[in-house]
Amino acid sequence: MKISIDGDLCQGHSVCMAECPEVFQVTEPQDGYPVVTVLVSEPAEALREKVTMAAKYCPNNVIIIED
Amino acid sequence: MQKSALKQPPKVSGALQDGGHMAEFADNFCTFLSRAHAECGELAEFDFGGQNTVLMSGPAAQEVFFRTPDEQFSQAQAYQVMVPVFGPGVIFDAPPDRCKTQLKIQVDALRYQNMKAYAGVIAQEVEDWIADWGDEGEVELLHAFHELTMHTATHCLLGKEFRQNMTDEFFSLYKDLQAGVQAISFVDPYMQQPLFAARDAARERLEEIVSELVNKRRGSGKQYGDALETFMTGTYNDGSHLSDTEITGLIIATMFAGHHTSSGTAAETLLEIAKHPQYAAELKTEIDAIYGNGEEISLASMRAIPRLELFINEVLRLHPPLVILMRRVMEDTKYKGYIIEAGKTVAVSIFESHMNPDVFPQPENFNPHREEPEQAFAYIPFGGGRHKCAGNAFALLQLKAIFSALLRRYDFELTGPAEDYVDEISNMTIRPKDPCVIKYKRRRA
Ligand code: HEM
Ligand code: SF4
Repeated sequence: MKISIDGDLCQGHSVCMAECPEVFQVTEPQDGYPVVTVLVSEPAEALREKVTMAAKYCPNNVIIIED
Repeated sequence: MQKSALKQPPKVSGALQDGGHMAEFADNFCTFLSRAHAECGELAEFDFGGQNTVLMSGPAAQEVFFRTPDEQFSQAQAYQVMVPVFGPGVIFDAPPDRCKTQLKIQVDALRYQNMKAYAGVIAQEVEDWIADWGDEGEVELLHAFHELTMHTATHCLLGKEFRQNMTDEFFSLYKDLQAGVQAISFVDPYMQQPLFAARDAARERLEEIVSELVNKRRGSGKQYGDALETFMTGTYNDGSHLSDTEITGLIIATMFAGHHTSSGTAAETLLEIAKHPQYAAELKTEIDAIYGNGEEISLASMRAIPRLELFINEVLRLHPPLVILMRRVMEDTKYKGYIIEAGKTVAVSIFESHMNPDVFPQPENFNPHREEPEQAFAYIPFGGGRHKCAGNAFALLQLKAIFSALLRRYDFELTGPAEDYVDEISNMTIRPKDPCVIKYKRRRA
């Protein structure tokens, strides 16, 4: 499982982090909006369900799961 | 490419000397926008009371609209008409870095962390609201939902005490603020005008009330779990807090974004439930299965109500409460051989996008079993990109709480022929025409 991010669209409301803190962290830059960062871009298969939930509930379709 | 080699967007016919297409737009923007798109295609330039506005239609052009950064397509410049309503230095009137922080604080208030507290508040308000409905009766949807969403909004934004003591005054001030946004506001929102004077007085009084509340809270050490708390604790980069004017402005801005949209959507949803008994039956089966064992309307159970969610999605497709979104073009922008020049406005029509038969077959039919479209940026009731609705989770949570409670208890029916229930299409919003009365009757066990 490989994860990529469409960063232009992230609004930083942290739904992803609530679903799967192992993989997604939302950090606040000095100025502007908080945005998601991916902690592990190829997480273990055991996390698939949580990552899928994060992708599903992200209101902005930021999270893309490749295969 | 040379600028001269680029074409200007095609112009929509029928502009009047006075006001361009403003009159046609104000009369029925749905037919106007369809005509503009049919006549000109992806880019259609029209004259919106002297402001050259380029309608961008279709998923590809809409994607460009939503992805282009603020420095190039400015939201603040397009929505200057809101400045006297929100107050000086607030959002669209704030310098870009302060504006970003304010939007961030506003989004913070609507984030996941606060959502649990809101879920509890909303569930309780819904219970109170239907407590005296009895076994059967009639309800006028626009009023009923206006009231309910005013209760939930004041409660979630400003807290329990405010909700109990101040809702009525808040309500009347808010009316004056709303009446202060008119077609003429787009010409000049600062002209001498009784409506505008009332608007300004209402904003000042609201700031007084908010200041009082803020002063009481400061240093009380209590936790409130409402939006005001988030607004009060939010900080700018230099560590300073929002002023009372800015806090008041954020409250007003959140109300403007969230109130009529939520109350209109709730009314449209109940109307579609009453119009389609076969789909209503599916919803009841689903709700009964979820709440059958007395489970509470908590955040967890709110999340997975798939049929109800699809139903609401379809309501928002057919009746998007916000119809047109705008940005001011700050730098010349190329699109497929065309140039959209700085100074113009670009617009996306949510309604037009949702009526595209290539994406939504038989678009005028209400069909909650519709497949989700494959194209991104085609189904856009909440907009998209960085300015996508910050309240969409809140809005859906609220709608699901309302309809879980209602469908568990009552059956709904129209009081007259379905054709009599039509949408009011003016003032740049879509909502059911007033009055909109339906019958309810307690479900038999
Ligand atoms: C069914 C209900 C709702 C619909 C259809 C809706 C729709 C929208 C749309 C289309 C936008 C984008 C505006 C633009 O791009 O110019 C927007 C923005 C916004 N909405 Fe909503 N909205 C709803 C409910 C709410 C609620 C309940 C709240 C707050 C409690 C809210 C807060 C906001 C805010 C703060 C923004 C501005 C975000 C920004 O510019 O960064 N909305 N909404
Ligand atoms: S849920 Fe989506 S938009 Fe929100 S922070 Fe996570 S990735 Fe960004």
